[in-house]
This record gives sequence, C-alpha cells and structure tokens, in this order.
Amino acid sequence: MTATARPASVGFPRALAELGRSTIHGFGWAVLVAPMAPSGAVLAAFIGGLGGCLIGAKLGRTRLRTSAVVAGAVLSIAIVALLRVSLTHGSMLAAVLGPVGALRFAGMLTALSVAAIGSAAMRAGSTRRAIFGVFELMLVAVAFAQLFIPHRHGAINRPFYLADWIIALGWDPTWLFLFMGGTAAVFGLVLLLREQRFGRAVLNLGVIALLLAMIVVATPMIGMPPPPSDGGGLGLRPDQADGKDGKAERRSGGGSSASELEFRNKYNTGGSRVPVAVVLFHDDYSPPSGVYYFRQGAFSQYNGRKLVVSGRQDIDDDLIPYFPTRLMEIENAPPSNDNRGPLETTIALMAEHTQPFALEAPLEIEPLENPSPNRFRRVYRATSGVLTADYTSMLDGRLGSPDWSKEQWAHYTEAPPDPRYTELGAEIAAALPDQLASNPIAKAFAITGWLGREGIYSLRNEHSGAEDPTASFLFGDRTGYCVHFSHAATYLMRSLGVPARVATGYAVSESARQGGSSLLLSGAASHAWPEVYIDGYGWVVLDVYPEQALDPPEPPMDADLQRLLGELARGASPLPLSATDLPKLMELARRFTWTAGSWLFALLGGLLLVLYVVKMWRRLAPSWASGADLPRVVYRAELDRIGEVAIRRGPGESRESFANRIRERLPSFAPLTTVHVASAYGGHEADPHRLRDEAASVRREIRNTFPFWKRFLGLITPWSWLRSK
Amino acid sequence: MQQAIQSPIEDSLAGAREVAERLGARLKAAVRGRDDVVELVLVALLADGHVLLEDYPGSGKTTLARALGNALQEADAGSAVAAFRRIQFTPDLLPSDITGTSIFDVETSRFVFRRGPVFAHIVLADEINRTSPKVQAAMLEAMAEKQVTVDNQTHPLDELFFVIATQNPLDLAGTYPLPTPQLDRFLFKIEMKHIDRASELEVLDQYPRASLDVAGDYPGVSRAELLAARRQTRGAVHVAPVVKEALVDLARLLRSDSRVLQGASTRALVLMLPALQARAVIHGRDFVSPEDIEALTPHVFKHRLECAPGVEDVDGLIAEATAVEIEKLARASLRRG
Repeated sequence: MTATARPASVGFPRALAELGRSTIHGFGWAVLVAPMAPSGAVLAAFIGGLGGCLIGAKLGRTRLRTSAVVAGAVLSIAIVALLRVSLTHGSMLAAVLGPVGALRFAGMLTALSVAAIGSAAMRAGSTRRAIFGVFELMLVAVAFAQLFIPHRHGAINRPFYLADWIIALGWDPTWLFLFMGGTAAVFGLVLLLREQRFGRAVLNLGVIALLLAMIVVATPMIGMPPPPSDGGGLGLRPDQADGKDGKAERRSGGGSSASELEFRNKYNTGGSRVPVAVVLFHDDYSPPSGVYYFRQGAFSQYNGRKLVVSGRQDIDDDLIPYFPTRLMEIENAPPSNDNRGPLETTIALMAEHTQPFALEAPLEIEPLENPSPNRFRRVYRATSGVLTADYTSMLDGRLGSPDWSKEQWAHYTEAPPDPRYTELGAEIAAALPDQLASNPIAKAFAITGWLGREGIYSLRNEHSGAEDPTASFLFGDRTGYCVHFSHAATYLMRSLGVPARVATGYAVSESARQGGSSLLLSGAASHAWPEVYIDGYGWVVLDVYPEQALDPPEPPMDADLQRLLGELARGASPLPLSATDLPKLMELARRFTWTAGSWLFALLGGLLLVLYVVKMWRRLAPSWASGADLPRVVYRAELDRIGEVAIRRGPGESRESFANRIRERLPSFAPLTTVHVASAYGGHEADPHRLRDEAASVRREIRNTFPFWKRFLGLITPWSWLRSK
Repeated sequence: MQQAIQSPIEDSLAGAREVAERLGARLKAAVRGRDDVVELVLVALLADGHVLLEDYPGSGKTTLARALGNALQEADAGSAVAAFRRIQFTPDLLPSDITGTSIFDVETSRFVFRRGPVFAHIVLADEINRTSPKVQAAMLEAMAEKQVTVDNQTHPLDELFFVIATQNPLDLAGTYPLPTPQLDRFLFKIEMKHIDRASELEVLDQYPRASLDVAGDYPGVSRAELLAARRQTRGAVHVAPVVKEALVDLARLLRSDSRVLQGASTRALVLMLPALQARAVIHGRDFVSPEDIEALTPHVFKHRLECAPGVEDVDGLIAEATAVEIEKLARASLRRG
C-alpha cells in the first residue's frame, strides 16, 4: 500500500509551458531562416513557428488521426508552394506592391506558412507521443548547427553577419558564439523537460542554467579547445602512434612536432585548414624565392632508411632547441652581412608545438606576454636573419663552412649506398652548361630544378611500404609529396658531395600575406624542404617546386580571419572604440568570472567530495558498527544500495509496506526490515551474523535483478544517499 | 492484504497469538474474501473495543458475527451467558427489549430480572441507525459501561462483551443517524466493499454447505482463552515512546486541520493503543510498529472526525496526516536512537 493521498500538487501552469515551447519553436524557425532570408521573413518565420506550435498543441488533443495530421501538413506545404509560384509569377501582386515588394511578400508568406505548418505538425505529434518530440529537438539542432557551419576550421570571425557587429563593438565574438551555443542547449533541454510539477521544473531549469554558467566560466579558465591539427600533408602528426617504428612514446598535443619525418601519411584534409599559428611581421620583407619558410626542425642523420634528427651537439645547431623563458640568442646563427638582414616577427601559437619555429634563419628568440590566453597557447618574438641576396649570387659561394670538422662534413654528405643516386646525380649534373659543369652549387640547383620538372606532386602516394621510400619514389613513378622530394633532393646532392639536409616547418607563399602584416599558418602549410650550406649564407633553402600536381591546390586562407587573429596577437582588441570603456569592462568581467569561477568550481568540488565521503561512510559503517546500532546501520546501507537502483520508499509509506511493495524483486529485504523495525521500536537486539547474511542476500538479489549499467550509474551518483530515507 | 513479516515472538505472547490465529482461521473460513475485515474484528476483540460495520445487505455481516459466536459457543458449551445474540433494531423497539426487564414471578411473588439480549458474549446490533435515540442510548451505555441499569438496579454484563453493530450506508429514509459522540464508542467503523470475483465464486462453490458449517470444521476458542489473550496483549506488547508521540501528534495534526471542525478525542487515542497492540500480536510482533498505525488510523479516525461542510474526502485527509507522521517515524528510525 502506498500513501493513497498526497498533497494536491501545484500543477505547472500549462499555458506558460506551452508558451515557452512555442517561443522555442519560433526561435528555431527564425534561426533556421536567418542566413538565407531578409529580416521580414525571419520575423514571419518566428511568428509562424510560435503560432503553429500553439495550434499543434490544440490539434494534438483532438481526435484527429496522427497520419491525417501529417498528410494535412504535407498537403498544406504543397499548396503553399503552388501559391508562392503563382504569386511571384503572376502579375497581380507585382502590380500592387511592385516587383521587389511582391517577392518580399511571397518570401514572408512562405516562411510564415512553412514554419506554422511544420511546427503544428511537430507539436501535434509530440503531444500525442513523447518520442515525436525528437523532431522538435531536430529543428533546434539543425537551426543552430547550420548557423555554425561557417564557424568551422577555426574561422572565429564567421558567420560574418553575427560576428561583425560584435567585433565592431570591440568585443570578442567568442562570447556571442558561446551564448548562442548555450541558448541552443537550453532550448533542447527545455524541450526535453516534461515536469508536471512547478517546483521540479524550476529546479531543473536552475540546474541547466548552472551547467551553462559553468561552461561559460570554464571557457576562459581552460581556454578554447586546441585546433585539431594533423600536421597537414606531412604526416607530422605527433600522436599518430607508430608501433612498427617503436615511437609510441611521442607526446601528443597537436602541431608539427615530430622528431622524425614520416613517409607514412594519413591523408586527411579535415583539420588541415585550421589555423595553428599567426605570424606578425614587424617589417616588410619579400623573400627571393617568393615563399616564407618557417624552420622548426631539421633532419640530417642518415639511419639507413631515411633522414632523422641528429643526436649530435655540433650538428644542426642553428635550430631553436626549446621554448626559452627569456631572451635567447642562437649560437650558431648565420652571420649578419649583406646576404642576410635582420627581421623581427611575433609568432602566436594556437596549437601546442614542441619546438618553436621562426622564419629562417633565427638569430634570437624571446617569450612575450600572451595578450589573449583564451586564444593563444604561447606568444614569442623571433628575430631572423632573412635572406636578402639573390640566388644567382650564391653561385660564387663556397659549400660548407670552413669551421667544419671532418666528422661534420661526413655527416652532411652521407648518402645511401645505393649507386643509382650517384648515377642519377651525375646524369643531372652532366646536363649543366659547360661553364657551370664543375660548380657544385649549380649542381644543387640543377637537382632541384630537375626534380621539379620530373616529379609529380601528390599527397596520396606514400611509398611507405618500400625498403627505401625515397628510392621507390625517385626510381619509380616519381609521384610523392614534399617529404619524398626533399629526401630525394638531399640524397642526390649528398651523392655529389654537396652538404645538404631536410628542414621542416611551415612554408607559405608571400602572396598569402595579402599585403598585410599578419600571416596565418594552417596545418596545410606544414612542409619539408631541402637545404644546402653555403659559406657566408648559412643554410639556404633550395626547395623543389613540382610543376605537375595531382591534388587540387589548397584554397587561400581567409584574409579577414588572418587580420583578426593578427590583431588579437598584437594584443589589441579587434577594433577598439576610443569612445567606450567596453574593452576595459570586458577585462574586468573576465577577471571576475575567473575568480567567481574558481570559487564555484572549488565549492562544487568540495561539495562533491563531501557527498562521496558521506556515501562511502554510510556504505562502510556496517563493518565497524556494533550492538544496538548495527541493525540500523546495516539497514541504512542496504537502503542506500536499493535507492541507487531507483527503488525508493514513497512519502508516508511505512518501512514494512515498502518492503512488501518490493517483495517481488527483493524478497530478502523484508526480513532485514523486520530486524531493523524490531530494533527501532521493540528494542530487540539482532544477531550480527544473521543480519550480515541477510544484508548479503539483499546485495545478491540487487546484483541478480538489476542490470550492471543501472547499478553502476547509481554507484557513481554522489547524491544517491540523500534520497534514501 | 499484505503478508505479515514474521519475527520471533516472546513466549508470553505465544498464547495470545495462537488464539488469534485459531479464531482468524475459523472466521476466514466462514466469511470468504473478507480477510481484512476479519483481521480488524479480531483486533477489536483483542483490544476490547466494538466495531461498526457499514455495509450492504447480504454481504456477510451476520455470518461473520454468528461465526464468531459459534466459535465461542462450541468451546464454552453450558455457559450461563449466551455466546451470541442478534438484535434487529426497528423504530418501535424499546430499551427494555434489549436490556431485559423485571417481571413478576407468580410462584415466588417477586420481581425477577429477565436478562435481555445484551447479556451475551457477542452481540450483533443489526441496523442500529433504524431505532430511536432512546434505544440507541441504552445500547451505547451497555457498550461503554459494560452494564445495564433496569429499575435502578445495575446488572453487570459479561467481561467479554463484544458488539458488532451494522448500518446500511444507503437507504437512510426513516433512520436516526448516530451522532459523532455516540460513534466515538465504537473502536472501528469498517466500511466493507464487495468481495472479489474469486471469493464470490468460492462462496458459490461450497453450496449446498452453509459457510457456518464449513467454519465448524475449525476449532473454536473459549471465553477464558480469549480473556487471557486480552490480558497478555495489554501487558506484553511494547509501545515505544516515539510511537505514542506519533499518535498524539497525529491527533493534534488532525485537530489543527482547517477542514476538520472537531478532531478525535483523547479517548480515541486511549482506545487505539490496545488496538495497535492487538494488531502487533496478530502480525507476530511484541512491539507496535508504524505499520500498525498506518493500517488502523483510517478505521479509528474516520467516524470520529466532524468535517467542515463540503469536505468529502475524509479518507484522504486522514491519509495525509498519517503519511506525515509515518514519514517522521520512518526517518527517525534511521537516526541514532
């Protein structure tokens, strides 16, 4: 027997709930229509959705068949489509409103009726069966998802019609998008709410609001999620565990940070357009090759199969080894002379990198304060001695450094023992005109030129299964990507005695700057290229430019995004309005949310901890309780367990009635109840062994009766014991 | 009906429990499908209270009362007091028709008292609301005082004096409804509902044997055994202080309810204690548990509450108040005593 009468529950004001649902319908349609229709039609869609939902709720309570409702909706849409055609193609309306007015009117009418019919059908369905509420959820989900489609690939400034005005106000559009996402989540959750009691509904809405507040607070605290970077076409993805080569210990974290170049490549363009870094040029600079090369690493050690990072101290010491904590000068940087001039750049990383990179060749690097910690992982300033000399002037230069030891020379000229490399190198060198035939630098140019003519660029051909992937590329179909080209060039040069290596990093065409001072680097820009050492110039990029490519060219980066991110990296708010204190207010608000957020999280964490401790204590108390306390404590522990699988005593139900009610599922709970009641009201002592046996059999029955997931969910719920009474 | 949750019972109560079981088995055999009513009647019998059955004609009231009488009669053959009497109340009945009267004995030339039908162990007062208030008053005095006064002479009734009164809930034309203070003398007012299909079929199946014949197969109970059981119940069933507090709180809660004009009397609580004890014994316990309160409150309080005009759902009102107290008791039992 359960308590037959409960206090008359205060019914949730039905009209209010219905109105809320209708408003959500209206907003759903309005958002759905917004990107493709003028404001009048958006308003019409809102009204249509709102009204349609109200009509649908009434319709759902009539005796009309659901199939009739659906058929009616389909028929009505067809009629509306016909009507629209006749309106826009006929001359009557145009005569009255003018041609633009007629089109606008027809659009509004269409939006209004489609929203109204759609909402009416959906709401009628969901009134009948709760499961049809899925369609309402889909409306909200689709509406907001299509709103955010342009926002993908790290394009934080899109969609323009939403972001532009907030950027013009000097605010970070992130907040707007967080707010919009939160609204979508609230709409979805409110649609899922089916509470009959007012208090309960208010409580649930409060919990939803709290969760959303936590998301908003957490975002500035932990920053934006890092962009999914896969190292572009290079296969530099660090978390791509490669069991065969035993490099599973590589740290993860995005960005191009591989210590070895991989021929194996997961061709995936999905995340490659996501920006990973933005570079600010402090001065104008036009590279002689037309391409900006940002060097991060170099591969010069031949390991019998390919080139790897050298472990030697005296090798490749012109690289920036790690992120410094203060100004660091690169020891073996090329000398500043006529060939190289200094250029300052500020580099803001959006994806985690294991090693800094800079425009070749870096002279010094200094960490900077991060102007936008939400957005950037790290910001540093790098000064590079950039190449100013023309390539032709290098022909008179000397290869290698006079300071090099024999070992260093040998290191940079070690080529695979395969004789075909030497043969091919000699063949290419033989094609040089006579006056250049003995110039080793000219030979190196000839090799890259030959590869550019003969090779075909394609990301899809990996040659990764071959014993020597470079040989498979070079003496095979000559189809591959930068890793193959750079290896092939380096091997051929080395076979001719030219000191060469493979460098990796990002390569971006000068035109991508589009005249601005900022340059956006995406995963797709990651690159590997061959370099040769020329005395007086240092390591010089001698890249291969394949004339034929099988893959379509990458679309250019979004210029607006490039500028916006550049300004964020510069530490300025995108468009500061001198007339307002908004940015300062935003900064204050950010600090406040940070503090409040920390407290909120600490409080919640503490609360959770206390809940778990009490839960554990109540569960374990039977093992140390004794005497008159034992029956109560054992009973309470089992009651908690039963409560975890959502079986609870009703309000005003006596313990025995409860035990009787669940006798079907948990028969051994009844004797346990008897012992507890006898102890509580009759003062009877209980036999500890029997009591524990009974408790054990209750536990067994719970295990046998309820599925694992249900018990597990109950186990991890920290507040389950609060409801076991 | 919920199953009793068994627990070892003290020896001092074994006898009382056995008596209740024996009698219960016999009554249940006589009246099919009314186990709940039989239990309530047993509780009232052990608690020395009287019951008022509100029921439709032909639903087994008389059978129940007669079976109870028979069970006593068999065991006590030759007793001076009749085991069972039935009084059919009519508008023209006089008090002396039930109490008895003094008549002149020609042989001894003296007035002698001829005992009326109330001088019995079990009295069935059929349709008690059909007789005049005068007769009702006489009956109720007998119930409350266990004595009758005729010609200024007081005649005590038997110690085991148990009244089952009935009244028809419909057909109220020409009746004298019992006022609430009078109803206070009944421990329970039991509203019987029609028995279920299976039980009704059972009744038909045992035809042509009468129910009382069937019940005769079961052993009866003697007056002495019953009185001993009563004494044991009063003495040996523990009533925890929290339970008493809950009872008092429950009565106060009902009195303070704005829908109630007049709440239950203190006497109702005093009468209820033995009833709770009796139910505990029947359920094999030597202590009163909240479950007993939960089961008995509707029957104890319903006829004692004078509700405000327009309040229909008396059952709901009592259930609400009971739920509050049961909840308090249940929660308290999880706390350190």
